[in-house]
Amino acid sequence: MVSVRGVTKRYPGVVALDDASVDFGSGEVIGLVGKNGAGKSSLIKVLAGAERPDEGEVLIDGEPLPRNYDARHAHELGLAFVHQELSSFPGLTVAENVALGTRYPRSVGPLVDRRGLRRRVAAVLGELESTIDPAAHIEDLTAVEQRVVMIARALYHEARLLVLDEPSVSLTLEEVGHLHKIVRGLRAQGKSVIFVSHRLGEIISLTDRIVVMQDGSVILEQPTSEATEASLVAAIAGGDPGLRPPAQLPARAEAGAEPVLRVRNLRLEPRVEDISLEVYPGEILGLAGLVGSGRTELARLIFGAERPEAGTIEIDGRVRRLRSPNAAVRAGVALLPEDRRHEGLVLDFSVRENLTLASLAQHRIGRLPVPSRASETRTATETIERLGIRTPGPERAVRRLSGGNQQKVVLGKWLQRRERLLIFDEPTQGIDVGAREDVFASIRELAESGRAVIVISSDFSELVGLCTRVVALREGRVTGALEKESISEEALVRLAYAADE
Amino acid sequence: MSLSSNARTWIARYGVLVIFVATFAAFSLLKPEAFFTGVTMKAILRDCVPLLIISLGVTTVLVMNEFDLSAAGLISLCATLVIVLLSTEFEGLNYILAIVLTLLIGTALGGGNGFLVAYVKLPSFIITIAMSTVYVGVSLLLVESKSVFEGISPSYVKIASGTFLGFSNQVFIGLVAVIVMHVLLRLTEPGRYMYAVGGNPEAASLSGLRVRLLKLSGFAIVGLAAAITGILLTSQAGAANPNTGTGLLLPAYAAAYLGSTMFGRGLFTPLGTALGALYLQVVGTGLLILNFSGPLVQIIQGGILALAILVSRFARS
Repeated sequence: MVSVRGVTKRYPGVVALDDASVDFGSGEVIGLVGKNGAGKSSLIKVLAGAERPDEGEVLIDGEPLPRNYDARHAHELGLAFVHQELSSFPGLTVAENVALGTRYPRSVGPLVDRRGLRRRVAAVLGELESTIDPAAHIEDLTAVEQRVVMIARALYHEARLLVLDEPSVSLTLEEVGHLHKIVRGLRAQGKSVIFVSHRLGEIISLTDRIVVMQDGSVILEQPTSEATEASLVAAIAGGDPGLRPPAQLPARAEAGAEPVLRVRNLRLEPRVEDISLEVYPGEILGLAGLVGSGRTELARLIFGAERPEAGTIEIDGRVRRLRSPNAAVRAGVALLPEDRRHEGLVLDFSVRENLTLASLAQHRIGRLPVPSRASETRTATETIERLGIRTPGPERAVRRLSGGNQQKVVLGKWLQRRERLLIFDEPTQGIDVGAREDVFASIRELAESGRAVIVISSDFSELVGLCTRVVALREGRVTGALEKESISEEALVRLAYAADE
Repeated sequence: MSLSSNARTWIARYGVLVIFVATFAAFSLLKPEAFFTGVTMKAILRDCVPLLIISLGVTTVLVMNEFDLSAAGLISLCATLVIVLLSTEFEGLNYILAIVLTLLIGTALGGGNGFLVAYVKLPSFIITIAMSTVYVGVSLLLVESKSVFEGISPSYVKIASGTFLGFSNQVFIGLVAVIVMHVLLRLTEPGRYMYAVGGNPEAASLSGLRVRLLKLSGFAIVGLAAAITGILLTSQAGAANPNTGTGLLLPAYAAAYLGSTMFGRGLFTPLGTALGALYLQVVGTGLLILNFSGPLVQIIQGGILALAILVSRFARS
């Protein structure tokens, strides 16, 4: 139904799509996988009419796209895009969001027939087996409900091809299950779905065919029945060296060392009931817990973004009242946020400016607060090399780097400082296999240099390979701690889920 | 449009500069005997200084993605304040003392706006409009709604009307202001931080920057700039009236926006703003020499601003 032929798209200094060719048929679920920067997003942008290819062509139903192809054409041809960032309209109801862009049904003159609108939208939501109230306000919905609304929107507009970009990110297991059910339902209706995901498990269980991209080209297309997780990892990683064997665990906290962080009886209703824990220098402490276990709230408390109702936070043996993230930074705590584009980077700043933002005072000329450009560039170049950041140079705007490279820049920013404690919130979110190993290596290096590290991850297998100790949280309480060899995925799952037993 | 990307880049970077030079050339050709003369050039440099200084002030908050629409009201207040302080008809203070007090009060009032925006978290756009109304009201009260001419020390008048090396003192004051603001915003740590706050306040805060303090300082700088502008305007006129600053608000923002289109990156910079202010003055003086009426001057100035923004947008798209 959609045929991409030899499409090339260049940005200054980067080839985003390099002679990419692929067909998307009717009634199939296609898994689109590849590293960050492999060209998945660029391909989707071309289909959506947000970018025009420099070479090659795209055919829909055998017809080449018009020269002035844009988002409206895509919509008319039955293509719908559910982006990773939710793009619904706050202030409007579910029904108004779903039907936006079509003519709302009318009652008298120009007045909208609200009941009729809700009835129609309820019918579409019914097809998705969803119980969302069409009259609800969109901002009152959970993330998965909002995503379901976006899918309902595509159905309401009679889309034939849906592109779901990382739809399962930040959803709970149960919600992911519901989402998969919806995707299978769409296929049964004869719709096509392009499913973009870094989670190979769901790609294999859900899709009919898998398309792997690398360096802007399609390097592998195969029926899902012929693929295994291992074969996909190999294809995605491509020419890169394979996964490194797990590095040696960093030295265990020295006996008798003072903890960098000691949290006592912390409480913040409704999510944090009573949490106490310590982190020692040289340690990588994992926080394992499901969404709602209090892990994110705990991180926000330690970072001064929230204030506890009860309990104390000690850093290096001193009780601190952290009034703001800023106070936490000055006390020696760094947070690498999950949402790095919005919280970690100044996108219009260059790589150099972002890398030195938290440590600019180290580059002073003499004692004046005037940074030396040469000194900054030296540091930036070193960091780019050390972390393998892919950029044409230190002056490239961070906005133009891929997700994995952006994450490395956030990391690089904190490597410049002598932070006592670093908190990584979902450090590999949306990052490809290769970049992931680089990030892990940097985390280990930080611990080896005597800093304390906390890693929050919903991917327990990641914690097993990385952490020296893992604390499991459930419903705002610590349910157990595992050390070194005793850390295993099953044990963590047991501790995190146990309430259901 | 089928323009090569090189051409676009070139237009984006230099298009507005070309319009600037072309305007200048046009005036010079149309009225060489009156426009392109030493006297006129010096007058342009002198007359643009009050606008330049308040434009540099608002540039500081624009960098941080905030607005200060109280700038003109604050100029009026500082203008009447300094005259009331020094005029023998009112307080009759020593003029230097009056100036220092006015600079301090202006800075403090600007900082007050900054406090409301950064710490109380009020939206700057609307709170500064409200404060502007208050400032104009206070300045009307101060001079009982009249202009004040009497009892102004000649030394005070000399500040703006005196000359040095053949140029008005104001030219040197303007030059120093541009250099100071360039160094502050483009070369120092606080300057870099201000741009970071404008780019992403959340990331700036997570990087340990004192976002609220930076914002407060930005508004304080607008207050200081307003005080200097008020002093220059009253010193030059030898009088104060409570509407002194009214006409400067939109030109100040126009100068900053023109400046941001000047070098293509869409970044507010002191040097860009200085060129923007200078350009607005060139157009104003040039049209005056060509005997255009006031309303026409406004139409043309507004049109040029719109054109400059259009050119830079088109070229960047």
